[in-house]
Amino acid sequence: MMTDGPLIVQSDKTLLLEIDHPLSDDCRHAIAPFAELERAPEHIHTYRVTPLGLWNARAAGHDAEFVVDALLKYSRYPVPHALLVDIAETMARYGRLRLLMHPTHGLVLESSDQTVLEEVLRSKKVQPLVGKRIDDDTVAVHPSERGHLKQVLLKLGWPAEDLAGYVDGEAHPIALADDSFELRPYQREAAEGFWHGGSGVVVLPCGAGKTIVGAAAMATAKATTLILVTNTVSARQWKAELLKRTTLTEEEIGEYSGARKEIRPVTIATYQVMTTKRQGTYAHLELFDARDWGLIIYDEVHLLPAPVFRFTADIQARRRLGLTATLVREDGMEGEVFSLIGPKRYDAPWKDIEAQGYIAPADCVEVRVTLPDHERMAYSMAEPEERYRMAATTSFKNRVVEKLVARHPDDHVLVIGQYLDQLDELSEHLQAPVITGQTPVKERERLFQSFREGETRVLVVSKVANFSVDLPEAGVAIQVSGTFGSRQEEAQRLGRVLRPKGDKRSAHFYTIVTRDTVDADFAAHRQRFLAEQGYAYRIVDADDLLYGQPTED
Amino acid sequence: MSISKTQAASKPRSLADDLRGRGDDELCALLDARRDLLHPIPTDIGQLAARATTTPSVNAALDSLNRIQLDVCQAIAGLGDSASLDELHAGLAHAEGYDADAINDAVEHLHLIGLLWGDGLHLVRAAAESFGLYPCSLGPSFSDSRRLVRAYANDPTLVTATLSEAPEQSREIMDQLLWNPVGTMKNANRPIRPEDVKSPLEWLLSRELIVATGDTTIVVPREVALALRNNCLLPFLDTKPSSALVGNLDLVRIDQTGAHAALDFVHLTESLLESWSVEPPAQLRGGGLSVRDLTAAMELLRVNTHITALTIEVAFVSGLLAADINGDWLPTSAYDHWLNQDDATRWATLAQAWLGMARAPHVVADEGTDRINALSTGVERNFVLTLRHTILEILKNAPLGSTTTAQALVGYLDWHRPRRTSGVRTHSVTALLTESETLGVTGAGALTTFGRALIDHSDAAQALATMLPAPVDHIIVQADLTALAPGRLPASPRRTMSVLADIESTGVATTYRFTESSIRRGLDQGQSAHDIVQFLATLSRTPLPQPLTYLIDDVARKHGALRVGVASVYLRCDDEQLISSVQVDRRLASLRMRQIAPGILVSAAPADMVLDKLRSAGYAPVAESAEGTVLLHRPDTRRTSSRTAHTPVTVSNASPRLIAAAVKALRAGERAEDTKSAGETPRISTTDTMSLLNEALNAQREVWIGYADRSGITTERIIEPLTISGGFLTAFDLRSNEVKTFTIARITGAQYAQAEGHE
Repeated sequence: MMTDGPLIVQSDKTLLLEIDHPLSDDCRHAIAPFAELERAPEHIHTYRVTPLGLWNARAAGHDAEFVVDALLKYSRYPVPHALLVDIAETMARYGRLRLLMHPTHGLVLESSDQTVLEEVLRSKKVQPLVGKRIDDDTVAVHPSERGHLKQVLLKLGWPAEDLAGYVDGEAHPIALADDSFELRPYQREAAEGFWHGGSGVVVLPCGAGKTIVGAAAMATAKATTLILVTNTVSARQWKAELLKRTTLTEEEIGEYSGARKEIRPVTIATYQVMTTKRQGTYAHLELFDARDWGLIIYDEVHLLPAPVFRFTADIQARRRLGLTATLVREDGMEGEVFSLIGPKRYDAPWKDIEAQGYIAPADCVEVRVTLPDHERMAYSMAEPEERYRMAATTSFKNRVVEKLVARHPDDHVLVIGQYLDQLDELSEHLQAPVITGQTPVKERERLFQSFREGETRVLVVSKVANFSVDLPEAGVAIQVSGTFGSRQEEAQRLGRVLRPKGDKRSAHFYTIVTRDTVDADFAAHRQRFLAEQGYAYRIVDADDLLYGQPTED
Repeated sequence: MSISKTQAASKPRSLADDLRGRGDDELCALLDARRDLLHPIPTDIGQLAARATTTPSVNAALDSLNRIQLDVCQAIAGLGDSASLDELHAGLAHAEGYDADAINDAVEHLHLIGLLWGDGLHLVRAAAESFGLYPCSLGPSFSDSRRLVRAYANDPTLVTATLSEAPEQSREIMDQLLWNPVGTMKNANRPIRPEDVKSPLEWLLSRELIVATGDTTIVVPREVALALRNNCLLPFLDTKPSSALVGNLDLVRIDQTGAHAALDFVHLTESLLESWSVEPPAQLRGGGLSVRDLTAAMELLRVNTHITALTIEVAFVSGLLAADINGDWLPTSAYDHWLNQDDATRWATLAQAWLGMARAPHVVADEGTDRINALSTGVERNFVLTLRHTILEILKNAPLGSTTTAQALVGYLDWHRPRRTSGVRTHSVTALLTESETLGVTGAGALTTFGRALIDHSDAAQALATMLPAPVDHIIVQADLTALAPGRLPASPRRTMSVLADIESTGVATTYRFTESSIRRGLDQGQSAHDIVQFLATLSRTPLPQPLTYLIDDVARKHGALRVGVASVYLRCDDEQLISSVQVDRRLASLRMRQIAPGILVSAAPADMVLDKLRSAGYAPVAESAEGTVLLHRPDTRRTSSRTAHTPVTVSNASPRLIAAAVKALRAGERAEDTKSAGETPRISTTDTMSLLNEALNAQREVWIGYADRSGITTERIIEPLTISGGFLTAFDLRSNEVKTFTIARITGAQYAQAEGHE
């Protein structure tokens, strides 16, 4: 009665997939639509079945039978009946309620199950969002409350299927520049998956070309588009990429940032400017209404700030595309992303894309340095809030960085850190230019350009480089300090070196950590993330690195 | 004797007569059905009949009836004494679900157990009374006393004819009273003529469709109700129980679910007892486990309160857990034996204990004012043992794979024993089913193969063993510092693994995570870094990732760098020579001094003793304070422990409110004094007291009263009356500043507190 399948289904709803098993690939494809990949180290991948994941699968058109079949087919041991029942029940909750466009009553909430409708209508949170009862199964919904209603219903455990459709928006001709390149297969699938679903999130690793997916979505929509990105540099990158990859011209793309306020058929705005308050109100949120946008793209959706969420709730009739490398939000607002941007429409694991050669393989190394005795004493006496800074910025790290830079004489090296003093010191030490938040945008772009063209080989950057900066030829990243244990930051920084190299070299990702301090604790958190992403890493002692024999590489 | 026998054969005049006429088989059946009558064994039939008609015995007999038997019993009570079987059938013929055979069977049973006797349907009086004043919701008969009712009795169609002329609301009221004959109405007991009718109820009263039975109560006469109900005694009859079974599942799936649960439960028990081996919770003074320890166990096991309590109780009942003499709850030596058995055997031990457990762990989870502690005597419930067996018996006798739910079981049990229906039963059935699912005795609501073996006392462990995945002999270690045991590990490596790593996810497989603290735990237990690496490398099917070996080495490097010990005294000295001579001095050997660092000796002896011994050996030590300064010793000056000096009382500024209140109190005292000067409160009659109090109440004046307390001692109070009613006076007591109630009869006298107009 027991099969020899690759999957172990645990009663706590985790799925353990043995990837060395011959059936593991088939199994992964079968469970990917409904299970969230939690960890992907070298032998066993851990997935988790969550209500959101199951509803994502429902939104993608899979039913409970599909899920149950997948589990039964690949499970090594018997699957607990209770778990299967629970899955069927959870999935049956999605779509009992549907948001529709009624020919005479406008936006309505319709239910195939009257008791469910009664249950949600009794909720005090739902009552202000709906209008009059049309018949037993239907109730009118205020068009402006479409998003809020979806949020509330998700919290009540009855996620609504949004079939109310989208406005087309103001048409604008956009096409992909067909001469220069071709969409990679997964990029095409992602764009198609999104368009088919209407709205939703595409999950792709850093460096896998999320911008191109955005461009492809725009070319399908052929309508005016609002793109929201994390910062100005990223906005410029998007603009450059769109000019290169689409038929759009300089005049058609506007930048809406702290520096410039252009509203054009394609407008790229930063989260920062959107959330700037003037006299207590968000002055720029009306940008959402400035044109009849046909498509709204949210870059790095896992960083979407709360005010933008609130406004997104009001524009549920417009198509929304979220792009991200990870659905994990450190604030736990995954449910908001699900109800307001939309369900996950496409997901490709990091390692898959690496295997296809679209991103470079990476060699991750943690270098442990020991605090010199006098610093150790100072550290012990320091206030808790000072400790991380003290440990992370020990000058001993400079020598290690120097050594590492010397080890890769032919590569482009990024040295990434958190503290400006440390970066300035390193810049001096390495005779390399430094870019921080204070560096003017013009100067930054000049340095990036010079780095790209190979004039500058080593660049010291602060966390401005965390997001969306395209540095194609960085082959080595060395991080000396970071924002505590942020996994997101780790993902972003790793992404810096993952763009495929011309000669298929593997990338190098070094983290320098001070042993026996909070620095090491935070590093452990981030290393765990790396390992969970499937990047084997090694730990070496700084002393071995500085004085020992180079054993490999 | 022979005479009575013939009499009995012709027409029994009492239950005793009837019983005398019964055969031995019938009497055996009666005694079998009513075991309470056997203790003690009655001396003769007369005594048997007398005992069988007592209220407690009749109640016990009624408790044993099923739904239809109880309903028939009630119908007979509703018919009145000595009705005929035909009348009974006539009275139930229109009831929904009427089944002549079922009724006859029920009558036969009632007769058999001696609740009915005679040729006609004579119901034992205590049984008739058990249905209350109005069996079958029929009011009393009024045909003897009420003219119209008599007319209704003679011609039932008259009732419907009269009612058809009634106002709509009156008809609605009649509908409501049809199966619930008693109602209330103000001022009901008065003659109402049809022309004076003002309300729907009065309309009904005037036509005698309802009759007043008191000032505020009304009732529907039996004759009227029967006419309107078409002679129906009961609206419907439940002749058959609803099924306890709700569906059928593939046995393979049931067994898989059960096997999973069984393994999980064994695992829960092991995790709990492993944790309690190291940190045992204390037994409460009254026995049992504190709520705090229960909550801690719940967090450890990550299951709800009920399942936590179940795990604890089952471990206790199966002898794996007991309280030691120090009052700690600890695993027993049987636990070690249990731990080394295979999973199936371990499960069988637990399941067997659960099967015979007269304890109800679910009561621990009940919210309420009186929380019941796990492992205390408060958890004992004898009835769950019976209930558990009843449930499992039902499942055992059902076809293979039949599933049940708590709701279906409760419905079934309610039919069989309707008088025992209660919220407690529903609650307990739900809990027991949850428990049997948790233990894997049932899976998805049906009996598992091994659950069946358990009930049948055959080899349950063997039955389960064939379903369990084969144990695995390896783990898979990964670079993110996790390890996976893809199945069940044997006891010994499992135990070591749970020391070296934290368990993240359990089920058939177990996920472990290595952390600094988990590795430290291993080192603390005496394993070296080398041992740990060796153990993992042997167990792991894949090479150990470098970050793990690095972690182990790193923790081992720091482990034990700081040493902590207990000593009561230290000796320090810069002179190495001196310290060495102290250490080797034979006269000081009893101090058992030990050198822990150059120039430092420690001893467990008290400081005074060390000082004395050193001095008597000719050394010249001085004592050091906790801060390291030299303590001077002056024996002649003595002190007591310090005490707080008096602080002068400072007068704070009184608030105007406080002052006003003080004045008011003073005034009240004055008034009391004023009246006092006129002598004691005059004793006046209750009538005079009443009129004075009433007057004072209207004028809102203060009154001085004498009031006798329960022991007869009279005290004087100054009051302001608030209400007077039913012999009580509620008044504001000015001295105590609160509202009090006085019994007027105890007021010995009253007079105004001040002259009239003097306000």
